[in-house]
Amino acid sequence: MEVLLGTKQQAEKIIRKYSDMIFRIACQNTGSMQDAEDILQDVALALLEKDAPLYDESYIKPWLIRVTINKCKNLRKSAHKRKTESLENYLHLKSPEDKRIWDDIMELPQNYRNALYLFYYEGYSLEEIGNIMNKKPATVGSWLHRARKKLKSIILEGGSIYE
Amino acid sequence: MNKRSYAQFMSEIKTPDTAVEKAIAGMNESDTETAVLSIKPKRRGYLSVAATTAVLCLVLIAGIIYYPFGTEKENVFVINAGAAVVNNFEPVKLGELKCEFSSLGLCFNDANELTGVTMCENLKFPIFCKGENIESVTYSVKGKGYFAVSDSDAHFSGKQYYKEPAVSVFAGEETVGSFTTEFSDHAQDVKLCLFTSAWGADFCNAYNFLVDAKKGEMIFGKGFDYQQMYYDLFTADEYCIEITAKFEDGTTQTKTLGLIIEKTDEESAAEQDATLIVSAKLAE
Repeated sequence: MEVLLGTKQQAEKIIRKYSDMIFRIACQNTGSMQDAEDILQDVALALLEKDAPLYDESYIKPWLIRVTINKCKNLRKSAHKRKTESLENYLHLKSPEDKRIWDDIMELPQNYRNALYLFYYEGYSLEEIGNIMNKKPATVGSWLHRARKKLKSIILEGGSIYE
Repeated sequence: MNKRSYAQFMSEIKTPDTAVEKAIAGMNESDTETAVLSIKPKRRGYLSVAATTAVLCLVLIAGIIYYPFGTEKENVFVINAGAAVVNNFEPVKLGELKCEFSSLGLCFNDANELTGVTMCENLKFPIFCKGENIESVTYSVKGKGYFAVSDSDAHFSGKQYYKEPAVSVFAGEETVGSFTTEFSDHAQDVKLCLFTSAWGADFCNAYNFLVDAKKGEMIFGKGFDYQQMYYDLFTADEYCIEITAKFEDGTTQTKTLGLIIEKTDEESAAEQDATLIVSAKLAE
């Protein structure tokens, strides 16, 4: 008699559900589409190999974010360099405004980008982001504050459309 | 760049379908086959079957004899927000905050310099507990925020007054961080006040406004975004409510509600500009 526990099916379901989130985090951390795709594959494998909390929705999302950020850090640390397809082409940055937004985001330090994304897009609180990124909530708060300030100064320097 | 344009931009970044399929194919190719277990039925002798049955019977009889039927009942309670039961996975809406200037307060020192800004919003507190044998319930706001209760209502006891500076106080009300009320299967006439503040001149610079201390007026710079500031301030702080039920047998049980403050979704935000939704979820 064969009993299927369904780990792979569950992991597949999770990857389909959160692939956009993983991809967005990977894109803004690596700045490369191929790397972001590779990170997605690595995270998918980690879901099976590591002790991922597959059946707990409240833990799986922060777990995926943490693993994605760590994988991006590891990739950055490695000496491996590759040709990268321009993300701008891939992201179909239609308007100059879109291109400018992307440039502004990419000018921010990596931690700021992640905090900004988790706070404003995923809607996590400072404490939750602190838990995910292993930092104090106050640190995350100051990252967000500085990120906003920095974005504002970039905007002012450029005299851009956001004013 | 405001939050909306940022969110819209990010939402347009989608994983290519091929990348998702590649990742899933990679998972399927991996030799992590712990998902499949082979269980073969084993042959057992009649003796072992009989022995197992005898042991199970003994355990069952002992269980029936010694189980304390009716002597002990577990004290449990659930928390309701209006008609909905609050759980730990799906936030339940408590109310809405409208972004208006009336909630903003400016704080000055003796030298007429701006020392900070405060914001305070009230919403009807729709929370109550349900359960058997509950004698009384204590509600406490942890962190910033407080309750406004009627100063003449005798239902409330054990009030711990909230002494944060610059809170709004209304006639006939008291501001308390905690109060106890007898068990009731409906919400009390209480307001939940969410309080937030930011201090220092840096804050004004970050949001591009000045304050004329003599007139107590704000002067707005280019790009000043009050809605963003409102949102940032309320989401920068954490609000939670600790609820302790005391049962008739003297035991107590405590649950904590985490409050979530977020903007309405894109469509409804366009209809009613700058409304924040306050919802609650049971903390893990």
